Amino acid sequence: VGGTSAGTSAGGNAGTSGTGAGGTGGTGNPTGYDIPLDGVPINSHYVRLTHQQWENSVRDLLKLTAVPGLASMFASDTSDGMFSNNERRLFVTSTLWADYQRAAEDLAKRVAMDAQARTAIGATGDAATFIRTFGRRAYRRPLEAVEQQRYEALFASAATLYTGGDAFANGVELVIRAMLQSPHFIYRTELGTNEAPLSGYEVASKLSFLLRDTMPDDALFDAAERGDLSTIDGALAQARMMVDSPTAVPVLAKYHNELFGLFRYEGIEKDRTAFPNYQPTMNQAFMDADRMFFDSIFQSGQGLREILLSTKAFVNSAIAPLYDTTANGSGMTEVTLGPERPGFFTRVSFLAYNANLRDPDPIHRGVDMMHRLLCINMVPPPGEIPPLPAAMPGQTNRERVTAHTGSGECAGCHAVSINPLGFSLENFDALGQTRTMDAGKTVNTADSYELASTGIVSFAGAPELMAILAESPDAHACYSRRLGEFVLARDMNETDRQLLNEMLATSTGTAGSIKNMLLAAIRSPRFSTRTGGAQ
Amino acid sequence: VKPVRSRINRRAFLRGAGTVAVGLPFLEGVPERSAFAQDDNPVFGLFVVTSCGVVQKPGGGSDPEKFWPTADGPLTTESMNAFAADRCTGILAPHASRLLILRGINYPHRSSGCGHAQGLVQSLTSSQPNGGGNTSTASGISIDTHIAKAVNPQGVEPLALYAGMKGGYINEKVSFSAAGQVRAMEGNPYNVYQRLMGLATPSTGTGGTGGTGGSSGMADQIVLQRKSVNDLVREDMKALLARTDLSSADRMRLDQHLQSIRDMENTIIGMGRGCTLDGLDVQAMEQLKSGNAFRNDSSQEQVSRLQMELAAFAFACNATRVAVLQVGDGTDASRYTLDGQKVERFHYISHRIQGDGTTGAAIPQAVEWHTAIDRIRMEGLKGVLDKWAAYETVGGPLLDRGFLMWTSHVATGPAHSFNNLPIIIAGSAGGYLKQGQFINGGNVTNNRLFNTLATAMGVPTTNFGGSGLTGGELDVIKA
Repeated sequence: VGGTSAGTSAGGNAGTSGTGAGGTGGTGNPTGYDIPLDGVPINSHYVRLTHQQWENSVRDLLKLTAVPGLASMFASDTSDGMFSNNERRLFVTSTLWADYQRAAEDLAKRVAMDAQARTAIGATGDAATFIRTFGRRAYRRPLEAVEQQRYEALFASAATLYTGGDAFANGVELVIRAMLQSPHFIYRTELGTNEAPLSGYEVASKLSFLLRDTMPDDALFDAAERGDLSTIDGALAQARMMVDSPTAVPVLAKYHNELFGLFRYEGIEKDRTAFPNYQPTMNQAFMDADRMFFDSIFQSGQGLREILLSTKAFVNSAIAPLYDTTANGSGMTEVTLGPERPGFFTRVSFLAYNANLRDPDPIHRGVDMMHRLLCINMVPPPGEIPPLPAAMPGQTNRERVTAHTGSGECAGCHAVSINPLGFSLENFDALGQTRTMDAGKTVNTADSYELASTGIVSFAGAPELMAILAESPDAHACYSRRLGEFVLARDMNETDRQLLNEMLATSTGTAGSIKNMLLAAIRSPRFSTRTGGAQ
Repeated sequence: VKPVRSRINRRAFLRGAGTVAVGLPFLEGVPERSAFAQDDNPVFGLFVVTSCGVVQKPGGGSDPEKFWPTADGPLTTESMNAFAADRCTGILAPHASRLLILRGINYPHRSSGCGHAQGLVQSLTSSQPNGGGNTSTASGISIDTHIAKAVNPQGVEPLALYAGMKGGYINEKVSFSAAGQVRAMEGNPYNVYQRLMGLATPSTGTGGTGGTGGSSGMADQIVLQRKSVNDLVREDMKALLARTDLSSADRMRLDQHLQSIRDMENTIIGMGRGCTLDGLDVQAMEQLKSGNAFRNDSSQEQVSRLQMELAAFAFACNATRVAVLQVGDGTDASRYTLDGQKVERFHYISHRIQGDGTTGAAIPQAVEWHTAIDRIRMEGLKGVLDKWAAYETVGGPLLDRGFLMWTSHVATGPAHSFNNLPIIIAGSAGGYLKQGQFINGGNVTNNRLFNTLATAMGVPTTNFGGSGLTGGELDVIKA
């Protein structure tokens, strides 16, 4: 039996009283365009920590100076859904369980046998106190009485389970081993019935894993204990501080990395005869430059408009010449490019990735934009794909692609949707450098494209296209949907429409910052109440 | 024949226990005594799915025939050597008496989208793919799951291995633990080795095992400590499973987790004489373990070889009965070195153009290069079979007690054909399969082959892959 449990629970289930969160009737869709919300969430109440979250949480729980680096040897997760925090990817297999066990034993030994490390985690006084304080941090909520008793018994059993060593240290080791393997450490839980509000401790964990990629700190636990996180305003107050903190930056970097596929750049390769200036070491610079671009957008309170329109770029001495500029050293510096280079999709990295060894690849440039910017999932071509023939003498890349895909069965997708977006970037070669000529002719970047929201738009090239997309409901709705999926750690479906509209209103508003979009999502009852449950 | 009952080697055990950097040995992967005790003649199976087809004439468009033996019927070392220069399967000539080369096997379902993804999905499931592109998924379980559920102890999954680059378009896509649920695969041989090494008796000639000099009492302690910790974690899991507000999906998820928690037994039975580090190239695994070394564009063949050797090791140690290896994905970006020159990405070569899709200039030498790559793959397979021939499992030599099935996720390069899949089976599966033969399966679907292989492994099966398919075994390959 598969794990699909589509949300059929819109109606009032007996027994679920009003949540009291109130105020869900607010924003309608400000754009009039409803993007499809056709995800298939399973609404799990047990979302396993990602391997990165495990690393960060272990570091913080055990007060280590750095992440232990053990998760690199864990069984990897599948690539289900767009983001690494998607609930569908995050479950425990027998292999992963064994990996957890090994890591727990390794770490527990390391900490328990070191007096300084024991002190750092409060393993000093009596066993019961240590279990209570450490347990709250490991379980991310206070231990229940029965749990406390079980751990005290385990601690005491060290006297018989070890023949040598310090009895207290041995007890600490056993307790850490067990807590690191407990489901309450391994999963972030949302326990309870459908539509019931999350507990303050659950909100603390949800906020912390979302905005810091790690377990809550003591301040957040204390806020939960005081009841501060049991109201939406209280949670929002914490969230505001967290989105402004530097600790949010790597989290959003990961989001944009996965959204726009920056990790794929390691596979870039160019023909060394056609591009003697290309070096494989540029691939890392491409990734670094784009990460800094998105970091800068996020930190300066900007949003999708700037992702599409900003002329800032980051370069080092290796990749600066690709933009006809210069830089010193291997470190990155910020530069301002000309108006022909608006936004992410005109950066050399995106352009070089979506290119062949020698030629630009307008088809994949177009497909990537449709998929990642407009949330349009292309169905691959049916049957066998005839290869693109070699260019005839005097034939431009655009003419060749058009001749091959612009008519017949292919044209339905290619001529109308894919090729026009890609053709807008034909003035950038296979390494992303500006070009004006192709096969002895002036490159042609003009075309038209049919937006789902407003219909056909025409453009002379990338600057006009990006300006259109930056104001289009399509791109804002897609970016909102993706960010919503990241916030909720699951797919979105129609039941999430209200949350989407709140984010969309923020994105299209004057202060359309990513930070405010995150806060809009956190304000939604979809964030702070449980979804799904027994069927 | 009685299984070999041996105490676990305590030196190996304690060597692991005393080395914090390495961690404790992975004895959890070892089947408990009860699970295999009643089975004196285990059969082991490894399923290998390579990428992007072979150069063969049927379904290959204008491609020449460079793969299959020249005539149906018996294969001998002499007869295979005669065509080895022209047909790459001839490279396996030294193992002719252990081979069953099988043509005339097709996927059940036609391609309705990306041929690579849908080929990968069907390669071990025989099921209808859902979805066309890289999100394509199987509507049923894969054969390794079917077998593991029946013959592995509860909770022990198939050993799932990967060789090559990831982060491309498709990634792992052959092993499914449930409909729609693809199984993640381990691409770093060193990690696999780490999980299994606790099983092995010490390698001869390596000397100095680290002087932990422990006693059997220390091993007993570790067993008891783990039991105490596991018991507490089980209490937590059971409390969660007792909740009434669980969805069925969460119940399944937590149950899988609970079943994974296994206690270690201090006495291991049924380990073959091959359960030793002697057959493993640990040095190569260590060289490849860090960064991208195990998944860069030129490590695929070496990693593939190491993974197949590790599968043999796992079988010899009786850690699992079934394993699966995916070599490369649909858009395999590996770049082989031919005549000293690093050539284009294999996927480009298989398409005969410089591109993953339809666009790209023609690669004039593509057929020649693809042929050369097929030969490299056969050389690699031959090397693995050399090793497999030497492995001793609990029931005897691995090539008698098990089999290795080698195939590709599409039959041909540019056409992505789903018919006449290249299939090589080495080993008799306990005498169940014909040996030394090139056989025409008769233009039938691959579920029939899987029915036969599952039955050979002690899992009588007639309808794998779903009721819509013609079922039954493939009698023509049975001994």
